[in-house]
Formats: sequence, structure tokens, C-alpha cells
Amino acid sequence: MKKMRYILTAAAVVLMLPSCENYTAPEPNFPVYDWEANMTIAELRSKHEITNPSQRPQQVTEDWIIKGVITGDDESGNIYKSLYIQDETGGINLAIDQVNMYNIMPVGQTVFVKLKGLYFGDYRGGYQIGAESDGEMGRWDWSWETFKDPTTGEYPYKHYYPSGVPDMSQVPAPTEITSGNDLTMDKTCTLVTLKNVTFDNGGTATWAVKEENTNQNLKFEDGTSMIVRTSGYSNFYADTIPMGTGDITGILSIYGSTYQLLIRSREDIGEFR
Amino acid sequence: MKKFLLVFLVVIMPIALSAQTLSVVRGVVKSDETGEPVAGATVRIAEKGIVSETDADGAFVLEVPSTDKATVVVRATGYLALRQMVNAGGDVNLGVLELKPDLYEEMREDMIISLSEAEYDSEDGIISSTQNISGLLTSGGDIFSSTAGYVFGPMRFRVRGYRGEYQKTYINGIRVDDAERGFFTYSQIGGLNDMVRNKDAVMGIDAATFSFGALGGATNINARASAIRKGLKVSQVGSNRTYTTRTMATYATGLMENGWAFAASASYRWADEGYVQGTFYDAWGISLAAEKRFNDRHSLSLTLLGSPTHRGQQSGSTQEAYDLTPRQTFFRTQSNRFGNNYYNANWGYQNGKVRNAKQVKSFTPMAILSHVWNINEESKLTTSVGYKYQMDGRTSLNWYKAADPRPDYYRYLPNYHRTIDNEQAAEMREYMWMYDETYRQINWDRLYQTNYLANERGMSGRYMVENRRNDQSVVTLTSVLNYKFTDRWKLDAGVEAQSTKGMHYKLVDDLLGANYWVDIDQYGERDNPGDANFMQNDLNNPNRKVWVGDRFGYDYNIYVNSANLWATATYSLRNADIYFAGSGTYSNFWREGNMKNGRASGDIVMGSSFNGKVYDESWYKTVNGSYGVSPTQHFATYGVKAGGNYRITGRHIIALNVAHGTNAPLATNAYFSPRVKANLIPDLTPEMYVSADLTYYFRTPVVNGRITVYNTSFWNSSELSSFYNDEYNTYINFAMYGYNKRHTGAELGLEVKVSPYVTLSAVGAYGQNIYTSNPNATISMENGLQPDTEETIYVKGFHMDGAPEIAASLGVHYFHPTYWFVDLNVNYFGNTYMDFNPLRRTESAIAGLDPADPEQASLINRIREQEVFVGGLDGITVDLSIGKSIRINYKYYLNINLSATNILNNTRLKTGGYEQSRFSTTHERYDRETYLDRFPAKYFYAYGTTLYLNVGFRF
Repeated sequence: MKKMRYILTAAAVVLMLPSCENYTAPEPNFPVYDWEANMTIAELRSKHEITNPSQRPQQVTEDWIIKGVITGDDESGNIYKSLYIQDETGGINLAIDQVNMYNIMPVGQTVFVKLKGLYFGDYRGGYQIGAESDGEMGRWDWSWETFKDPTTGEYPYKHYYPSGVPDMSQVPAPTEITSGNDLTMDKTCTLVTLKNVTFDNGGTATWAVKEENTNQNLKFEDGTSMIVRTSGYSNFYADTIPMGTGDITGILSIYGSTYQLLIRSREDIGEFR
Repeated sequence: MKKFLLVFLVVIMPIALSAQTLSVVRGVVKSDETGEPVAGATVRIAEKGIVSETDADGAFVLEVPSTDKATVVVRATGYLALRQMVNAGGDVNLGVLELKPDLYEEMREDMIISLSEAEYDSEDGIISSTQNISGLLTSGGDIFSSTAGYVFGPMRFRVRGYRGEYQKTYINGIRVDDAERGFFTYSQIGGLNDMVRNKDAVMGIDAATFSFGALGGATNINARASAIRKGLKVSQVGSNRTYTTRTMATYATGLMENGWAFAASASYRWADEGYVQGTFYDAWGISLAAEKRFNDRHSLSLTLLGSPTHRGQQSGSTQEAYDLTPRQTFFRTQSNRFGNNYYNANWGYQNGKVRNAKQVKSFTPMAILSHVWNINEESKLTTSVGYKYQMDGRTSLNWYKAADPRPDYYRYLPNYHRTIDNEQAAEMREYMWMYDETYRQINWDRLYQTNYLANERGMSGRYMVENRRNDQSVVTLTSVLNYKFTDRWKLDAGVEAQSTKGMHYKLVDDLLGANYWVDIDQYGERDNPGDANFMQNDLNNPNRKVWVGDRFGYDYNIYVNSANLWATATYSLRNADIYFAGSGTYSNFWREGNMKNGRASGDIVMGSSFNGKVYDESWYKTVNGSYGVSPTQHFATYGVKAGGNYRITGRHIIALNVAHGTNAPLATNAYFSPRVKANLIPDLTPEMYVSADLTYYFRTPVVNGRITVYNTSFWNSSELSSFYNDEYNTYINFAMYGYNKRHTGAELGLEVKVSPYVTLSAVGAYGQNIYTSNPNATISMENGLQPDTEETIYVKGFHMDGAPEIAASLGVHYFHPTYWFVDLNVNYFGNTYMDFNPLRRTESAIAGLDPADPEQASLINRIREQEVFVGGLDGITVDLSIGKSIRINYKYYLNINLSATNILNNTRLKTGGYEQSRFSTTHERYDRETYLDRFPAKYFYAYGTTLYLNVGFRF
């Protein structure tokens, strides 16, 4: 019977189900780099001439480093496979072939970009850093960033270095635009706020048609106009455009010779009265 | 001719002539190994169908109509069958009949059990009913049944092609099959081999004494304390299959003088890593049984069983992923060659430790109380009540608006990039996959870091691990009467009532460093962003934050009740037995939703229209809505069967069985999107079947075996196919219904005793299990991205997937009187069909393509055809086993057996596979071909060489 007692005790112990999964969580890892930028975004932009048709993108062959803060990300879905980065001199589009980039470099994230190996140029008048595809500007394959050399353990093709944690106070203050005449090339790819604008379709239409890119016309106080371009894949495309007058923030973008505003999220839409 | 005339005359004689001369045949059955008497052994006269059992002293008495030639067959669990010719012209005392222990039985069972636990759970959600190995747990019986279990088991062979829902499994009279899904998961009693060894089983539609039976056979496990072999047994197993070590101890008192019997068994199975990388194993098996014989008439037994199991699962992947993964050597080191058909996408390193994202955490304790009333020597009434509580959880990664964490997501492999002509991207990924293990496995660190970043921004987590629970509370009550009216008439009848409450929900298992998770459907959000309700899983608690241990996502119960009455009457003639059986069942089920889903938020109503079509109320039922109790669905079904065997001579017997009946639809197949809503498939008419099998048995001292041919046709069947679609991050359910199918084939089992020590065996099965009509299907996306649709699925002529239709084995078995065993089996498997994506067999899938154009015709074919693993040379495996039993000090027994499966290390044998669900049905030809190129099928392969070494001590 002693055997039975042993067995019964063992059974009782076991019936308290084993659920100990001691997987230790890794430590948060947000490296902060103390590097210095040796190139400004404005300077980089100046090295490429915008022509129609666009010139071939150039590959960076020197150890240039720019430092900026992310001003536009893809969280809402309005911006797609792109990020916008800005420093004190200007902004530029980072064309990256990856979705959900806001999980890695969201608005407010300080980023160092080691340019050597990347391509830069323009896409229909908008400056971009990315890759080259058939002589045209293309998106940079994000897998290169995570490519680890099995023999050395290093990342030979890593260019983007987010530094620290995202900090909204680091985002540059948006430039105020009060008229269509204020729209100039040097402001493209930067964060702007359009002041006191009225939408043609205010109160009557939604930002976009489902799964289609849609332009919405607006007028400044002085009667000049501009368009806001919204993707039908964004999470606010079905919201009604506000009636009345108010401010709206976003990234100033250009397509050919047409300026357009890209809203980043619902929060960019100010109070309209 | 003379013999035939004699038989003919005998049969013609009025059968009421019961006053024939009877001879008494008696004897004592003992174990050859120990000399101990064997109680409870069945002794039968083969030709006469006369059966008896040995008593506690191993003695038996049989009354046989006098004849000069009769064969006495003795069978007992754990022993090889013994056949002895007798001259029953007068009374005979056979003296001591010695039974040799069947050491292989244990090894075979262990194999079957460990195979049933190597279940793969395809990514596409539902626990597939490939867990049907329990149907192979027939106890000896004939060479086909005993071989089919452990030799064909690794290839997921299904007897006659039937899925698990067509078999019935009982423990002490209590049915243990899952009432919602229809099949029994053997791993619920894993590691309890010693307690569940004693079985009564029938193959196919043969008559059973404990149940009406089922098309695929029925098994009744006798786990009462008195049925467990007396003594203490300890065993240790070392293996490289699903577990690497197993320790088991069983102690049974046998039936003691005071009428009590006790038995207890415990085992522990463990592996840090099984045959497949990333699969760990951590499982117990516990069982306690007590029994009291009050007197000759009444006994009461209580048996408790349970197997808490925790293990990591393997995944299926594309051939490309397998080809690019480095091979593993036998000793688990990485080879510098490539091509690994056991690549497992479910695991990755976390802080240097292997972590599997898909784990099974399961425990189903059962308690069965059983009363046996021996009405007289040959009749008894067995009444049992059983309670089972199933806790079954399967973990999985979940993610929200983040990069796909699965390493074999199609964009992480080179193939996709080749389809978009980006050779550079393809080469980079090929290189990373081949040489960087952290690339081809889950990168847990990245998931945590992404969540930490979300924490910094005050957002909810991007990645988490969820635990999908399928729990059940089941009460069953049965009573079975086995009554012998006269020498000729026997009645087996029973009544059963069962009530099941199935609870389905998911829990947050691990937040992976995130601060919280929000309970919404992300694609519901994306598709209808303006509609805050659409994306809710629980409208009564919108946008709820959840933490570890909280229920979220879905929460519903399925209630299933059934009451069944059956009876089998058997009549024994001189040279034949015939039986008639009937069964009637009332069953019902309904759903109770505990969460109001945003995609089905209307009140639950019964309606008679679906997608605009109006149906006749009498046969069509539909429901909309998710929250609350849905209308009850009722079913009245029946079954009838008849059959018998005719003994042409003692050595040649023909048996025929025919059956017809109806089966109510399973709750699992009826609710086509149960996590979201209570809607039902439009047609709930019970499935109807007609089945027949014909067997020829031959038994001579040298050759014995059987040949069987069978055919079963079904009408109005239903099944639910659930595919995970990673484009929409949702499950797409294909509820197919209203179709016909047919299982046809033949089985052969042959044993030839070529010498006193050597037996040759040949076992084969050939079947065709096909859809004989085109199912209708309700196609439903769980995230509501698209409305439900009805389509016809053109799969007439397709085969049932996931099991080889051809299985054969040639064996050489050597048994030496000094208890050496050597077994060699050469096996062949072929015609395993792959699971198909119903979407590719709809009209819209090939709309716009012109069959007259040869190129387009070949595309149509490629879209439509069902893939098959034909077999050929890749279908051959060889198994070898060696065993020895050693007697120590005349009291202790040491059994050693070593078995090696697939010693030629054939790693190219597919056991199954499935097509990916992503498919474009646009009319543009380029799109469809590209989809086929981009999303190839995923496969599972049988393990290479595996070893199993079992050392057991018996005291």
C-alpha cells in the first residue's frame, strides 16, 4: 500500500498543472547614437536636379550621414511604403518597400541615415532616398537593413539607425502656409500647416473613395487653392470633410508641378468653423 | 464434395434439434513465461462461434456439439493467440495451454500512441480530424488490424478511408468521442498504455457487444482495476520521436480475495526537442482505478484518467522552405547539406532559449463509474456513468498592424521575388534563409522590441501570444445488456444519454512586453474604418483593453445532447451466425454566444431566406446574429444493419455485413462561422449511408488471413474546411454540404508460418475514397471583409485527403522459444491526396479562361487538379524490431525491445499537405497563374529513421 501512497501523492502534485514557462523577456533596446551628421537634407537635395523627365537616381558613394526626425509615417495608411524625415534645413521622402514602418520609425523618432549605398533622386518632382529600379527612383528593400552576415554577425547593408525613443517634442514645428503663393519647392517634404482654409466639398464628401486615391480641393483665405490627396486605404478615408474654415496639417508633397498635402492622420485636421 | 453434402444435410435438419450430443472441452490457460494462470482469456471454438472466458484459475469449460475436428482459439490481452486442433468426438481435457506473451503488443501500442500525438495542426485553424489513430487500436484480432495500427500509423493511414467521426471509442462503456467534432483524440489518454491495453474492438460494421457500432469500427477499452495485469511494472523508454524519454510505473493488485482490485499508473514523457526542431514535450499520464466485487453478481468500479500535456507543435511549409533549410544529422547537428523536410516555422530563439509559438496545453480528466450485474453465467447488465472535463488550449501568435512574424511568410522567401522579377531580392533572401538561423525562425526579440516601442508611444501591443481554448464538460450515462436467451439467441442492447457543453474562447497568453492589447478585429477596422462597431468582437465592451488571462476575440458555447437506443440480436446456427441490429438516436445542438460581434450584431432570428433566396421553411433553417442563445436544431436518426458469417468448413468462413442509416450533422460542420455568429449551413438534413463488406477468412495451421472488399456510399454529407488567409489576416470558412461520397476498396491480411520460428506476413489495403458529387459551400470570412456567399465547389471525383489510399506491408517475423523476437517489415504507401482550397474549384476561379486554347487549358488544369503523392520509390519504408524477454531469479522479468522505424531514412514520403488559401479569382489570366506560383502548397513528411528502446521490468 506504500506504493499506492506514493502514486497518489505524485498524482496530486501533478494535477496542479505544470504551467511554468519561464521565458525571460529581453530588455528594451533603444540604442542612442552620439554621431554627428555631416550632410544636411537641403544639401543632399541640391545635388540632384529636378527635370522632366526625371533624371536617374544617384548612388551615394561617400560616408555621408544625415540626421533628422520623422515627420510622417504610415500608421494611418495614408502614406504608403514611405516615411518623411526632416532636419533644420528641409525634408525628404524615404522610399522603403515595407509596410507598418511606424512600428520602427514613427513620427517623433530621431533617425540617423548612413547614405552610402542608398540612392537618391526624385519621383515626379518629389525628392526621395531609396533604390534604383530600371533607371527610375524605386523603394529600398527593407530586408537589406536586417541582413546579417552569418560569418561576421554584422549588418553590412544597414543604413537607418533610429536613435533613442520617439519624442514628439523633437518634431519640427510645422511651417505655416496662408496662401497658395507660399508654396515653394524648398518646403516640399516638410511638415506644414495650412491656415484658415475652406474645402470645396466641406460637409458633402468623404476624404476619399474606398481604395482609390482622391484629391480634395481647398481654398486659402486669399482665394488661391491647393489639393489634399488622400488614399482610399487610409483609416479615415470615410470621414466627412469638415465644413467651414480651419487649419490642416500635413506633409507638403509635389507631383509634377502640382502641390498636394498629405495628411498623416485624423489628428492633423484642426477645428473647422 | 462429401464434406459439403454432410454440411448441407446438417443445415437442412431442423435447427430446433437442440438435443444433440455435446462434448465437454476443458483446460487451463497459463502464461508460458511465468507459469501463472491467465484469467479472463477468451476461449472459442472457431467453427462454432462458441465462446467462454477463463476464470481466476485460468480454467475454462466449453460445451461443443460433438465433432471430430474443432479448433480451440485462446486469446488474451498481452499474449499471442494460441490455436489448437482438438478431436471433440467425446469429452476432452486439453490440460494446460500455454500462452506466449506478446511483447510487441506493447511496443506497437506505444508506437500508435506516440504517433497520434505527433498530430500536426495545420496553420489553417481547426484541429483536423486526422486524429483518428484510435481507430487502429484494435486488439490483435487478425493480422490486418494489428499491423495496420503500428505499421501504417506513421503514414496516417485511415482504415477504409473513414475520418475519425466514423469511429466510436468507449472507456468502460462510456463513449469518449468529442460530441461536437465526432472523433476521439487519443492523446487525452496518452501515457496510460498499461491502463488502456484491454480492449474489445470491432473493425468496420461488424456487430459489437457494447455498441451499435460505427462505419469505421468501435473500440471499448476496459480500464477497470481487475482488467489490469497484476503486479508492478516499471518501464523506461528512450526514443527520438516526439519524446526522448518516458518513464512509466503501473501497479495492479488484480482481483484479490476480499473482492477488491486496485490499479494505478503514472508516466512522464519528456523531450527538450523531439524529432522535429522546436518541438518540446512535457506530459504526464495518471490513472487510478478501484473495483469491488460484492459477490458473483455485482461489481462496481471507478476509474480516473487524465494526461496533462504540454508540447510544441510542428508546422507544414512549402517545398521551397524545406529545400533551403540545412539538413540535420541523426545526432541533431547541422549538416552542411541542404534539404530538410522537417523545417518547423513555429519556433525561434528568445534569449538563447528555444520558444515555440504554437503550443498545446491540454488536460482532459475523466471519471467513470461502472456497475456490472452478472445476471447469470452468460448474461450481464453493465451500467456506467462518466464525467469528462476537457481543457484544451492551443497557442498562436497574433499581431495588429505589424509585419508578419511568421518566418515562412511568403515575402520572406525568395520565390515571391522571382515572380516579380526581382532576382536580387530573391538571392538575398535565399542566402539569409540558408545561412542565418535567426532569419528562418521566429525573431522573438524583434517582437518584444516592437512592443516596447508601442509602449513608449502609449499604444497597445503589436504582437502577442493567444491561447485558443476548446473546453468541454461532458456527462454520459449508458446501460448495456448482454443477454443470452438460449444457446442460439443472444441479445445485446443498450441505451445511452450524453450531454456536452463545449466552451470556445481565447485568452491572452503572453503580451510579449506590451502594456495591453485591444480587443478589435484589425481588418474589420481597415475595411469599415468609419464604422466603429464593425470591428468590435464584443460590442457590449467596445475597444476593451485586455491583459494576460483575459478572454477576448470570441466566446461562445455549443451545447450538444443525444439519447440513443440500440439492439443487436444474434442467432447462432450450426455453421453460421447471423445478426440484426437497429439503433435510434435523438440529438440536438445549439449555440450560445457570450459576445456580441460587430459583424453579426442583429438579434438572433430564425429566417427562411439567405442571400436573397427564399427557401422552404420545412427543410431550411438559418440564423443571424451572434449574441445569446440560438434556436435549437433537432435530429432524429437511425441505423440498421445485418450480417453474419457462414462457416463453409472450419477453415473457410465467409462473412457479410450490410448497414444503412443516417447521421446527424456535427455541430462543428453546421455552424460555419461559430466564432462570429450563430448562422448555419442552409441544409441540415442528416447524412445517409449504405455500407456493405464481404470477407473471406481462411484458417489453416500454416496459412491464415482474410480478404475483404467493402463499399460505403454517403449522401448529403457535410464538412467544414477552415483556411487562414494571410492577406486578410482572417480565417475563411468553407462549409461544404449536400454532397455525396463513396469509400470502396479491399483489404488483405495473410500470415504464413513457414517454420516453427518464422512467420511471413503480407498486409495490404487498397481504397478509393471520393466525392461523388459537387458540394455546395457557404463561404464566410470571419472579419466580415466580404459578405457570405454560396458557391458550388466542383470537386466531383476528388479524393479524401490526408491518408494513403494504398498501404501494404510484407513482414518476416522470427520468434525463438528463448524469447527472442526479430521483425522486419517492408512497407509501401501511395496515393495520398492533398487537401484542396475550395476557392479554386468554384466557377469564378476559371471564369474567362478558354479551354479550347491549350495554354489556358493547362492553366485551368493547374488551378483545378488535386495534387496527389503517388508513392513510387519514395513510398517505401523499412522497419526493424528486436526484442528479448529475460527471466531473472525466476520471479522478475526484464523485457527489452528496440525498434527502428524507417531504417532507410526515407525523408521524401509525404503524409499530407494543403493548398494555401490565397487565390485570385479576377478574370485576368496573369493574376491567377501568379497566385499559383506565389502561394504553392505546404506539405508534411513522415519522419526519417526513428528509434524506440523500451526496457521494462515486471515484478
